[in-house]
Amino acid sequence: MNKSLIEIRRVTKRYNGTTAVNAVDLDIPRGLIFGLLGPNGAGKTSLIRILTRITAADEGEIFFEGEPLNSLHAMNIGYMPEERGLYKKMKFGEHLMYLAQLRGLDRKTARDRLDEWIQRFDIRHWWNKKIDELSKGMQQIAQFIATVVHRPSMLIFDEPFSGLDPINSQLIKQEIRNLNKDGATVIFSTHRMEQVEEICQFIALVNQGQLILNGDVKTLKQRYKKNQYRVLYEGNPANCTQHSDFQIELHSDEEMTATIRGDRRPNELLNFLTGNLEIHSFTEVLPSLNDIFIEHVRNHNQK
Amino acid sequence: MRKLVLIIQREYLTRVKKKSFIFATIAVPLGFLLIPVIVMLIASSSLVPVIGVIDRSGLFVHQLKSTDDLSFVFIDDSLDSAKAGMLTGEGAVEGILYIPPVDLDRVKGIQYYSMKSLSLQSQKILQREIDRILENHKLLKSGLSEDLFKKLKSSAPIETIMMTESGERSDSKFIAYGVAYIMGMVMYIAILIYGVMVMNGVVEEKSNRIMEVLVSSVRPTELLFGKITGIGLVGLTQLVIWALIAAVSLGVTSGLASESFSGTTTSMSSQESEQMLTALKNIGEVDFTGLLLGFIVFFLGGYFLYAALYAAVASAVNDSGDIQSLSLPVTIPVIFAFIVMNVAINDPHGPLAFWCSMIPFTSPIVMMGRIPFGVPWWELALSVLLLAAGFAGAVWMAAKIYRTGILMYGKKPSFRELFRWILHRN
Repeated sequence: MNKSLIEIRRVTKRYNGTTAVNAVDLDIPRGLIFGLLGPNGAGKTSLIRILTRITAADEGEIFFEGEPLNSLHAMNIGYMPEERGLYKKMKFGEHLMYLAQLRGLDRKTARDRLDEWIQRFDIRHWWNKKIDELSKGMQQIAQFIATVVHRPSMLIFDEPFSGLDPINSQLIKQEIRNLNKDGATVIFSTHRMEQVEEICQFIALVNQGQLILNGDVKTLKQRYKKNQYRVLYEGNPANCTQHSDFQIELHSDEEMTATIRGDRRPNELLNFLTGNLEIHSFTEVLPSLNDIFIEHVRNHNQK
Repeated sequence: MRKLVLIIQREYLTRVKKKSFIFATIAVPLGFLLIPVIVMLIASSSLVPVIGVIDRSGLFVHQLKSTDDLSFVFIDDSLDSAKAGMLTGEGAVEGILYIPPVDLDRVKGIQYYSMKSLSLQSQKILQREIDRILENHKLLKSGLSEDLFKKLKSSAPIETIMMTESGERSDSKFIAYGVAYIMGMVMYIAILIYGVMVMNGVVEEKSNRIMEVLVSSVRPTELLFGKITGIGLVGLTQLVIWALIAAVSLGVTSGLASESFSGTTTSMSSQESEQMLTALKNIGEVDFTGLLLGFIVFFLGGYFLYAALYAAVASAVNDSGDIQSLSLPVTIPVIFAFIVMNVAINDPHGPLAFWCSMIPFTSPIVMMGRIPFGVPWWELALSVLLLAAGFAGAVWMAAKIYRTGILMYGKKPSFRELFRWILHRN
């Protein structure tokens, strides 16, 4: 079995002279929550549309579990687009039955699966309501159910929380985690970094159609950390601020940020500090994904 | 295939279950049935104009008789006082016909006074009656016996016979004309209504953003075919129901009518009622099964062709506001076909009628205007063949535009861009 669920090989897509996806090479590991990040217009949606076979790539290949991507894989993919809507005049139940059957379920299975979800969300009374009688948040939940009802092995969510209130966001987030625990690989496209930080284990950063960074979140944070430590202390820090290898930035009477220059070890910094102050807390500051994102996009844009 | 069936089902059922569909299906034919009744009621309630006649010649008494359309009252009064009476509204007459003492050889000086002008129809009747009475007097004066005079009067309706391959039969031109017009008209309306229904369906899917959800599990061409087929079935359902209602009501009215005509022919001259009777008899001779079959074939062809084009332009726009300008080039040929159809029923075998019943864009409507007059089978076959080719081409082209258009949001594309989408390889 392949370690990667999806292998993207030099995929390129052009629209009227602009290159939306430019020779992207990317492996999406199985069983993880994968964040596809990038500023607006970076090519995230174009790439997803190629993955879901809505559009075809101009060049390159995609493999799904080692096989070239084909129409049979549609059953294994659940996609919730950013631009999502429903037929306003259809009833909730009838609508979900329709979408579930379009995704390949027979009537009976569709009904059973929908019943499970309805029970889980406790929304039985929605069944005979027309879509336009439901609130926007309720419609999002309907969208979510329609995306996952056929139990695909790959789930793609494009900005899944836009327009959701905190309670529903939490609910959907929890369900996405559950689905991931049950074995689904989740691809998450967004430019909301705090959400990525919260749920993604693996990320890829695209900008101007190019892949500029990808990897495990922990590894990336280690790679781009700046050897900074947040220190809570008591005493007079005046003696510490002049050290040539340790740069100290004071925030208040009891908090500072210490940065190690050169190849000094963190223990040496700690020893240096304890010699002068009483230390209450010593924590490594890792860069946020937001910092990495901004830095890389900025550098890439300048090139 | 299973998905296509699902799409067709949804497109069909959501529309057929709508209250507006049920209402239109039942109410429209009832409305059409009621219109003639209402017209008749209004017509019969209008008063027959009463004309006062001052006859100084003595030739018109007992000769000028009231009809359904005009009523005559002889006034034994001077013209001046009659005129004065009319002005004050005492006489209750619409106008005064003044006939001076006349010399039969040189009749002149007959005058008609009124405050409002007589309708064209009434004027004709009045003229005809006066001429008839004067002619009668002249003939009798010339020494003709009254017997001979009655014998000389004739009234011979003409029976026109149409020669066809299957033999001769009495011409049902009058009926053919009516049937042709109605069928062409219904075809025109049907293509427009259901074509626009497809267009709005696509615009709806695009503007409520369900398109991307759908095309991640079905192919755009499946979606396009499913929608067109589903709505086409909606159209057929509606048309079949209308045809049934029409057939039943036609049967009932012709039954009632022939009964009432054979019973009482008082109100009409025998010649007129004779014509009506043959006309009604001829309705039975019209080949309705053939017509219906032809209608369905041409409806399907024409509908698919235009529905595909409407779907294509709809897929290219972002909201219903932009649709006007892009759909116009699709609507114009439909309207053009309707205009040609009106010409074709007057000259069903002329060159315009022939060519326009071959061109796929106009043939469904124009052919409907020709079929009731009899069209050679090879023309029908050729027309159907060309229509099939036209519709296949339109669907192919539409699928190309549709596939690209449905995922394009942003500015309204130009026709040049649409053309590029057609040529685009994948």
